[in-house]
Amino acid sequence: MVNRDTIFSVIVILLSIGAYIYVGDLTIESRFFPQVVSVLLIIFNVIHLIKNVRPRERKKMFRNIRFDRLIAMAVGLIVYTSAMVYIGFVLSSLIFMIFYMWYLNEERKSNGARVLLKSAILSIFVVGVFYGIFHNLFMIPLPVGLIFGG
Amino acid sequence: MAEFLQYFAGAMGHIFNLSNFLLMTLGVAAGIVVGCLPGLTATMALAVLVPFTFTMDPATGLMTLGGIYVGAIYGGCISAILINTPGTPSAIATTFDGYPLTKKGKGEHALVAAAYSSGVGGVIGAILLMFLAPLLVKVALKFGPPEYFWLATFGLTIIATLSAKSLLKGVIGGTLGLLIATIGLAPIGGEMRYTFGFYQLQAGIELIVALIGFFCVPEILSMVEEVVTEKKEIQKFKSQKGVAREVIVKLTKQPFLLIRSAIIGCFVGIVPGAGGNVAGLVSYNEAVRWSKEPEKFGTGVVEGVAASESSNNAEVGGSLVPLLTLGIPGAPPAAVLMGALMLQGMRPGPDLFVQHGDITYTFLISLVIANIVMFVLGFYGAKYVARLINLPASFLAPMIAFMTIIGSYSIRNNMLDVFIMVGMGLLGYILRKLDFHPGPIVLGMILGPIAEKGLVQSMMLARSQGSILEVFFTRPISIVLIILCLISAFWPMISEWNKKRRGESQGVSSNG
Repeated sequence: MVNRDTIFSVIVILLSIGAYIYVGDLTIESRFFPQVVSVLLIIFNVIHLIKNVRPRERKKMFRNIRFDRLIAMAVGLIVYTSAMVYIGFVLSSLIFMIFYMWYLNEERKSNGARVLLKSAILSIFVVGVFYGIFHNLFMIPLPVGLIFGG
Repeated sequence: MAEFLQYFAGAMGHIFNLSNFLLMTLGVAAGIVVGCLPGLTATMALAVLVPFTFTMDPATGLMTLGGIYVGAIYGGCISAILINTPGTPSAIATTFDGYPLTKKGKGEHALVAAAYSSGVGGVIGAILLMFLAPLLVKVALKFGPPEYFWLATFGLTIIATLSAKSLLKGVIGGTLGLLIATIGLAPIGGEMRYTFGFYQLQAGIELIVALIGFFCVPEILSMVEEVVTEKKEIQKFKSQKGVAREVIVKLTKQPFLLIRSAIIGCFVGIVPGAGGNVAGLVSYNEAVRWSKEPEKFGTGVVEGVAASESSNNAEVGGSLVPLLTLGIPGAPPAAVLMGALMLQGMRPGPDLFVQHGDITYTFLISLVIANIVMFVLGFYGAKYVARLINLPASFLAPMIAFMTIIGSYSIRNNMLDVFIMVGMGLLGYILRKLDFHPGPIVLGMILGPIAEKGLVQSMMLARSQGSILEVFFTRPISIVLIILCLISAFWPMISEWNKKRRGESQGVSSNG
């Protein structure tokens, strides 16, 4: 029976084979350890596969959860970091914070405008304070964004 | 001892410098706040707040981080006592008597007992650290490449055994960490591995980036995957005159309870993989066993709170012993401290005491002071901090996500680090759903370079001496480490066999 553990083990075995081959042309000092680790990973995952061959009770990976919120946050993190490259730290952070503070607040269904205003005020405050600390106090140049000449 | 005295005056100068002291106090306060929020662990507190220390000088940065660690472990008890939900896993055993006390209207008794015993336990743990670490350093200075290889192997076996639900999953996690650690320049061969043309990966994956990803992003996703609409009721209590005095006098009259719990906590902390939760549970168990009135435990007694809190705060000191002496963190929060040390250009291990003695001793002594500060802040501030317990996930999740991004970026001003952090975080979340704990993976990443350097150098040594057996298996410290490796690798089977035997003999006696 194909279950989540089986899929995981197959992926790791394939990755380990790739890792083993990738360093094949290097000197023995550079390739020995990663190749040993790759072989160990293959062995452990084969054992894991064999252990999971026997049919057993299936446990659902995502049980009783709000899948929409989970996916929204996972996608949001990827979009947020990618957008930072183009529109910079301040703008991407503001959009991310305002949207998610509003979206995750269940009150938005009955009082959307008020929640949005509250989220905007909080986000501007938080981003402003952190920008001030990191940019002015710690002298860390935060991304400006390609669009703005960064 | 001579080294300690040599650095003592300088360390006190550092600690009581006004700005350093204020930053350490701020660290303790921030740690308490994050620690008291259910779901946010001490590791997360350190990982999210570590970027604030990058630009500080090493001593100040470490003092602040030490303060955060101490504060976060204590902070977990506030929600454990007031809403029956431990703020951090370390405070699990605190709920056993803390919440029943609150329900009896004795919340103040529980909070005072927690602050006092945390302070005492933390100070004892820090003092033990100060004395145990230099002893272990003397042994560690005798380590050569084969010993380092066996040490890393021992660390991996024990971590796999202790920190995962399944031994095999722990081992796979640790090995996966070892493979991730090989990304970048080979330590001996000097060639690039798995960089795929990204020059930013030449130095490997930054430890703090991986830690932020593995420990913070899964928490953010767990926070949003469920909707909590009803607020947990924070039990109210009125401050009464004389309660603090009564509790402190009562606990001071039982020094054995506090000292025993602190020693248990410290030694549990030394073992890599066993964290504050194990420390608290073991010492609570011992407190029940040694008590004249064991039946009262669980119904709301201050001794129960004291046993757990004294132990989990002493565990902080314990977890730093293997970190500072051998470069192996005793618990995940110590791994973040390790990353911070490396960012400051200090490699944890015996050299830390030799090359950076002034900073190291400043850090050790500052932990004692941080525990005293934590007692004062906890004593006066716990009831005010408790008001933050119900901060909604709709605010916390985006806020923490924002902090993880700014934190991972500011380490090297590098966007690739941010992408790696998010990638590792999403991977960490999926792995968690598959019952893989991030602990072994991260510790595999830490032990990887130690194991590789030790293994390859030993092989070169063996080649020149003409005997692998002699290099790997005949040196006295190596033999001790090999035995420890075997014991820890076979420990689950030994304990299973023991349990079965005990069960059988009980069956026989009950039948007979």
